[in-house]
Amino acid sequence: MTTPETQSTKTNIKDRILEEIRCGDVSMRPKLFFTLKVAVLGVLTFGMLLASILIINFIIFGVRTDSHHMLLGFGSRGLQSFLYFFPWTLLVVDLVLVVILVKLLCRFRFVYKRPVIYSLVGLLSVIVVLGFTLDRETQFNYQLAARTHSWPEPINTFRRIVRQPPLLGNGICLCTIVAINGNILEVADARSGTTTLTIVLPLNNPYATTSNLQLGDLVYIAGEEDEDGIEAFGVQLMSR
Amino acid sequence: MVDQLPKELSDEEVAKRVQGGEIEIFGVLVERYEQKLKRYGRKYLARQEDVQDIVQDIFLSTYQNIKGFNTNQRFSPWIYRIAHNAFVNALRKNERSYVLTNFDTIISGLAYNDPSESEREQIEIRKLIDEGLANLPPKYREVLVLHYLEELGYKDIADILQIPLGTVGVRLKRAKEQLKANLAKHKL
Repeated sequence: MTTPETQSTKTNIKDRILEEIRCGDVSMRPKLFFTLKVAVLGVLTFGMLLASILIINFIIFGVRTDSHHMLLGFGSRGLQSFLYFFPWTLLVVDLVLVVILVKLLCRFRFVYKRPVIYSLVGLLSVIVVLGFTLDRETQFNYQLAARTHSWPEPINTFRRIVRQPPLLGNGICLCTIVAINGNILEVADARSGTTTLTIVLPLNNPYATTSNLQLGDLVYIAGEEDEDGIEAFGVQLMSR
Repeated sequence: MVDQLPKELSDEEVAKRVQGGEIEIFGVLVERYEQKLKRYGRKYLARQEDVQDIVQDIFLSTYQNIKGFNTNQRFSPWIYRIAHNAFVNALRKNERSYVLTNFDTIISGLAYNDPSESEREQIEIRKLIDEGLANLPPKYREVLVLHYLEELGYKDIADILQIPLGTVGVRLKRAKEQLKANLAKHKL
């Protein structure tokens, strides 16, 4: 039952609201406001999706052109090196972008009606597939490499992170064989062009053998580097 | 002008007329939802004194944003969504421990209406809610209030809270279990 007190409050709140509306203290936002809001959200979402795809594309491109994926074929030590050289910073930035994207998309019914994990996995799959396609099926990265200065800064920074060649002394080199003496290789280091390195291969390591190598081969070498050269734990023929 | 309105005019039709510029008719929506929103707020918030002001703000916000309401959709979940946001903001101010992340939306169970729940059980749960709601976490408090007191369905609750349907079911189940456990503990 409605008491006189609640009836009075009821009238008060309604009257107060209508009074504020009549006075013009509160006004309806125009339809355009909501249209623009959705448009801004759409542009923001699309921009973040694009950035996320670009980052994944750069990661794939970087790993592929630096040949670091070769490390995965060098056993457990190769895996350790692969994890060490992987551009984790970019991956973390990308994952943060994906989480923000899912948060943005959760405003839409078709997204929030499903468990968040579905959106996360779906979005990540789309981003990885598109990033992979961009790297492998288009000339985008090569065109980008040729026109570095004409791109906006975040893109150049992303590229710089993944395209940094392995530093001298970290045990990785993409080299050309100049001599083969038993289990010892003399190679020209492609990073400096003039340096010659001595590569010592272990005698019983299936990942590092000279059996299929010839003079002039371009090889990817991973190992422990010191002043005398590299004690390799993996050698992979790149091109002949 | 408002008095001449047929009582059976739906909320959506009223909202459409407000969108068209009939501002006086907005009072009809205030009349229809004032008590519901106050009850929702009183049950959801631990502090009672803020409810009146928050409800007024909810109506003002509803009026400001009414052109963003799609009249092909149901009005009730839309206004409850505005109310939910307002009450959550109030909770954040009052309860520093209010947790923003809802991990139960990451993987949710299947959506189901409990068919074994008879009308007698529903009345019993409503009674339990009145007695033991204050001891429950806000996210459980809210689904119980919306389902048993405001009598909203899973789909509407999912739209109001913007969570998966399955999560609504899971939260309701856990809320009932926790409510019963709390009351049993206090009676012991």
